[in-house]
Amino acid sequence: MSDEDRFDRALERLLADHSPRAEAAELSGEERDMLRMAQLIRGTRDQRPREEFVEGLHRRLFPRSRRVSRRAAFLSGIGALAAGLAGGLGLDQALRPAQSASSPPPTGWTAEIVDPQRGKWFHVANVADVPEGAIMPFTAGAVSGFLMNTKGTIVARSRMCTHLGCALDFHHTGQKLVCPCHGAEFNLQGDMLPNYPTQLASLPEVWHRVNGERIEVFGA
Amino acid sequence: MLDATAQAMAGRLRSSVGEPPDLEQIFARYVDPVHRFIYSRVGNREDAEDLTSEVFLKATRMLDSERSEASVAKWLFTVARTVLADHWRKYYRTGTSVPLDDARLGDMPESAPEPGPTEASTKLVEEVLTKLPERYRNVLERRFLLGYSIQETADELGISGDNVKVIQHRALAKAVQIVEYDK
Repeated sequence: MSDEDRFDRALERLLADHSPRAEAAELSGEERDMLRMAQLIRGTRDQRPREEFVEGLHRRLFPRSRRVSRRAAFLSGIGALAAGLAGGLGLDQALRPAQSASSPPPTGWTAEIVDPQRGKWFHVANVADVPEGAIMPFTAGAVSGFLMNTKGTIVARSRMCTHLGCALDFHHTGQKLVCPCHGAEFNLQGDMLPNYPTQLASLPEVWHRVNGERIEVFGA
Repeated sequence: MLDATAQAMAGRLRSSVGEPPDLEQIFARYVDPVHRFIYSRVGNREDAEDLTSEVFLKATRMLDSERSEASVAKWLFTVARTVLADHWRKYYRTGTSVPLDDARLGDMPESAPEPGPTEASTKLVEEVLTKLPERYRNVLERRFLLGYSIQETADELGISGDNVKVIQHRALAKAVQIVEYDK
């Protein structure tokens, strides 16, 4: 294999989001610098970690934990640069550091997440089933909740009342979740409405992911 | 008397240090910024995930429980930088006069996530691309920012695939030169 082929192959590896390290070791010094230049350019794209990766690393680091790292709700950092370029912006506009660089800091433990220790992913719906504004019940084994599409973002939230665990009903008219047992009510963000005498915890989120067309929920 | 003073001092020290950091909480807070910082240097997910894991594996082994959160953040990025340097040394055999090293890239974020960990490299890339001839820039943008294939790039720019390869090669070489001369 000629050097040029090797260099081209390193670039293709990089463009496929794979490590070009094996190829790099075989390159000339000049080519290694060129490869690093390509890596830097590519590095200005979306840099957020995959949810699966964060979950996996969390499990590896804290195998006994019952908590789950709640991922930071970063504002759309998705390929801000690339999107700018695709949108026909001039280069200097497109390459300005994306706003996402100053997105709000992650929020620690503001809400718990339902995180089965012996869970698996359940296919609960397809993206097309949950259009914007929709609310749809799901069951993922022992975990049940509602999928909600708020302005294009899908959230999966437990439907178990945090009082005594009855399954909440969705009330269309009031856009709220109501407990059939004692009447506690929650808004769609999972926070308790002030109609109930005791302060109840918010409804936890449930791990979910969009896998192609499939919406999957981590249940047990 | 002495004891009382020592105790008072210890108390003051403890209160300035604050609660010992919770590793899990630190992980939750910093996994995004550390990953973004590393991704901005390596430009691919595989390396970014490997090296980010390495940073946190090291961190959980070595973290001194007396650190305050601000100093933990700074320290995490120091670990990230060391892990990156080892990576370049191991696979890229980089010596002392590397144009693309972190010294040229400037600041390391002292506290995450603000200022953005990737600002330095974004700024450098912006500078370099602006200085390149337009036809070089066109190819680099399509290939590395938009992720076009050789053929897609060729079709859009109305040149041959071989031509795209040649230009991409020259453009990267030129970009490295620009960084070197600007040093």
